[in-house]
Amino acid sequence: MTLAPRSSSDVVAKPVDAAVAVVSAGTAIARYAFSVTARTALDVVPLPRLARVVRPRSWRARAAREAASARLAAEEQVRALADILIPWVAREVLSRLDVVDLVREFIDVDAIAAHLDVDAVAARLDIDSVIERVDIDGIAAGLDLNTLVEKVDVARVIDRVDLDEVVSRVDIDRIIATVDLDRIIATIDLDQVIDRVDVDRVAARLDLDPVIERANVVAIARYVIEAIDLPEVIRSSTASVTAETVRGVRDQGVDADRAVERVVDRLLLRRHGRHEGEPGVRG
Amino acid sequence: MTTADESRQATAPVAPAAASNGHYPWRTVPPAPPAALSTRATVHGHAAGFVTRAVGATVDACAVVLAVAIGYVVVAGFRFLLHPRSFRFPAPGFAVILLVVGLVLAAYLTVTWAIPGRTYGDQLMGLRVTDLGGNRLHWSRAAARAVLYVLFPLGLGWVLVSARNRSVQDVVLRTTVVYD
Repeated sequence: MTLAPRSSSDVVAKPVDAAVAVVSAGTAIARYAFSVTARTALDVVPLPRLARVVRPRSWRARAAREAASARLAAEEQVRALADILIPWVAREVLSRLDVVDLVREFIDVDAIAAHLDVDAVAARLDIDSVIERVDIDGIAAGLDLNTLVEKVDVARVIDRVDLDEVVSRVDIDRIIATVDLDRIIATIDLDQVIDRVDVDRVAARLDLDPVIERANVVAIARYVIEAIDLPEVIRSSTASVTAETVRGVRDQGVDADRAVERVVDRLLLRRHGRHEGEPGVRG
Repeated sequence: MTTADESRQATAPVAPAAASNGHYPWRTVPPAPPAALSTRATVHGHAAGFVTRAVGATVDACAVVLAVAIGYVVVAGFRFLLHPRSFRFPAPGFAVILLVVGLVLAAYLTVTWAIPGRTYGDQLMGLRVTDLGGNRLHWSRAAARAVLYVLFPLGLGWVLVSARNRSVQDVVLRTTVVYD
């Protein structure tokens, strides 16, 4: 509660008005007190003449009317005076008082708050209009987000985030569809990567037994046999063995022929060989 | 893997020689073994000697005897089917057997000398029967040679003595047997 500052004309005029009002009111009160006192004295003191003088019927009636009018005037004066005095007094009083301390000292705000029906107040609030009146952009522009972010305990935030739920909502297929793997692979120097790989060490760590167990070796062997036509290989091999045997028998037969011929020729004292002069004979 | 191996070999200064010779012997192809010179390559077209011809003749005789035996079994089987109650193995005399074997042998030799120019025994020993010009025998000469061989098989022994490795039949019919 703050009072408006008073102008200099008000400071001068209002005491004058107050003095006139006080004088008028005092006159009216004095006249009223005199008439009351006179009536009371005439009632107490039996002075018929005086009473007649003082309280003739016409005079009394006139006096009564005057008194009534005086009272009305006095009431108006008093009301005007009150209209002027009371705000001034109140202003002066309040300007010298610490109303907040007084309220805090004499009023149990908590008790009053306990009697307040906040729900009803809230129900009467038009939140939309409140929000409309709030300049959110202005608030946001005034915010120092860097400072706010620095104050945030990111680790705690992360602890409270359910990453599984987040991941389950992510459409990985769509993300993969947007990735250009060919371009990524084109940027990789595979030769350099392969040079860094120690293939011998990798091979040494390989457990081949499970691989062999999973590989259908029998099926692979059948496929290989079909691919190389093993029966044909065996047939040709057998044929070659047979041919080798036959060739060996023939060669041995020729050698035996030659041996027998040499023996017989020696027995017959034949000097020249049997095949000289034959067609196809060499040497 | 091949690229990695090659790059590793390229970077290792000592590895290639050791790898090609020591660790990976399969990378060096061994030279082909020299082809053995067959004895027969030097006697092609020469008159065949006694041993090979005797072996061939023996094989032919055995084949014919075997064929006659099979024929005997077949005939006996037919006879059993025709007269199972009164069946007895046929017991031909030696002359009959000799005659049958001689006939079959003569027919066999005639056909084989006239058409392919060699019997089974000749093929086994790498021989071929020709006339003196190196041509295949005519049916008549083949038949005559076959008959002479059936009647006088010992004529083959003349090969031992003949200066041109000819049997009696060859001398008579002007034929010869050469290494094929």
